[in-house]
Amino acid sequence: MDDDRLAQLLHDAVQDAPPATFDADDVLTESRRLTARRRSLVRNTTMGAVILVAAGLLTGLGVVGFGSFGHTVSDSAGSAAPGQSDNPGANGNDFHPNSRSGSGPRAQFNVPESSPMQGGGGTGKAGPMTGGTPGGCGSTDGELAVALAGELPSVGDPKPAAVPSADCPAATTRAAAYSVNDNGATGLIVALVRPATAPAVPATAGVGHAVSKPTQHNAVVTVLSQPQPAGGPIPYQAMLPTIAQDLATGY
Amino acid sequence: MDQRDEQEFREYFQARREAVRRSAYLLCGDWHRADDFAQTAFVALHRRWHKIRDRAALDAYVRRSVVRAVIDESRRPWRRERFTDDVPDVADTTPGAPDLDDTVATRATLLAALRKVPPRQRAVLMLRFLEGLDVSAVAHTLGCSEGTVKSQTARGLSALRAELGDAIDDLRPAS
Repeated sequence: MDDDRLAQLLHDAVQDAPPATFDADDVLTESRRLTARRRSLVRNTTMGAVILVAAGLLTGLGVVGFGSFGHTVSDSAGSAAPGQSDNPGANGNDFHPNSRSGSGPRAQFNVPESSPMQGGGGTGKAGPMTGGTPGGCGSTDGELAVALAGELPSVGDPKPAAVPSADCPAATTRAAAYSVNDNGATGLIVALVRPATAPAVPATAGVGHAVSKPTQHNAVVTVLSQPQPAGGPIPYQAMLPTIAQDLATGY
Repeated sequence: MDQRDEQEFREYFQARREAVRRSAYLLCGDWHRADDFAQTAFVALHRRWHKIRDRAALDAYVRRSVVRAVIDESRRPWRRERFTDDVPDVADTTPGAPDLDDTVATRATLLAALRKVPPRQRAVLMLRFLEGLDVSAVAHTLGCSEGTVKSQTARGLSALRAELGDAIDDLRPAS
């Protein structure tokens, strides 16, 4: 195979381009429109999460659901990714949508690192945000949610979702999730940011698939695809490395 | 994005728009869709502009966006890839220039054959031979290993040869 000849043929094949149908102004306009839409999406996500927590507190479901899985919620001072600000004085039972750390009581759980990614919100009655556990696992990170939304194809109509506690391993500092439909393969896409020193999330565990990419600031971005129902096709499995790599450029 | 960032983005856009359009066209075979893919990639880049400042990273990001968008769309069964034959408006009449019919036929044949190459292999061929990236750069762009790039290149070339048959003599293997 003559590589040069192939290159020449390919160049010839694309030479007679018609005038472009878009210019820089079109790009800027669309970008601003999408940014405004994502901000609205995050606001709605945040409000939805606050409502969920409030409902959970009012009905007394508390943190019952976390016990079966085991999650080690790391101390915020040791796990905050660079660039994040602490949220001192945050009560462990409060819900702070964008907080990365806080003081106050925290639930301690045990989890073997090889534990499989399990679907849904766990066996407990409470959703993962109930109780307002501070740190990455207890809240949806707005910035990460926006970034993740930007990576997902809009065709699947991604919707903000709570991060299942079973998918949020130790030392997570930021987390966000969307429910997706990849041409019939439904499930959750979860993005996590953790310190580089945290134990690795296994690539395949249970019925899900995870890809991790290092960042330039001593952190690791992990993107999980969790089919729902469990055992079904894994949504956007082939895209996970690209999504993780793109998200990693921002952390 | 402040004014300086916006100006830098516009300059980058002007410098790269045509190349990105051409790459997208090679992947999808339709100029209108190519413009859609290219515009989408630039919009995504604009939204992350403040986070990506290295020029090489900008190019890689745009390429990756285009490739991903094309592959993503190709996975949806209700969107059939459409390759159209684009005939140049003006014939090249300079002495020694290839016959217009031959040029058009070669282009149509090549594009039709490319259509049959699986999308990811097609993307690797585009990045290697149209954009001129080396194996390492393609691996970085696509977020895969160099070994994967090499195997995808080999498979893509094999698939292209199989589709072309003897249609374009120069592409037959040397031995």
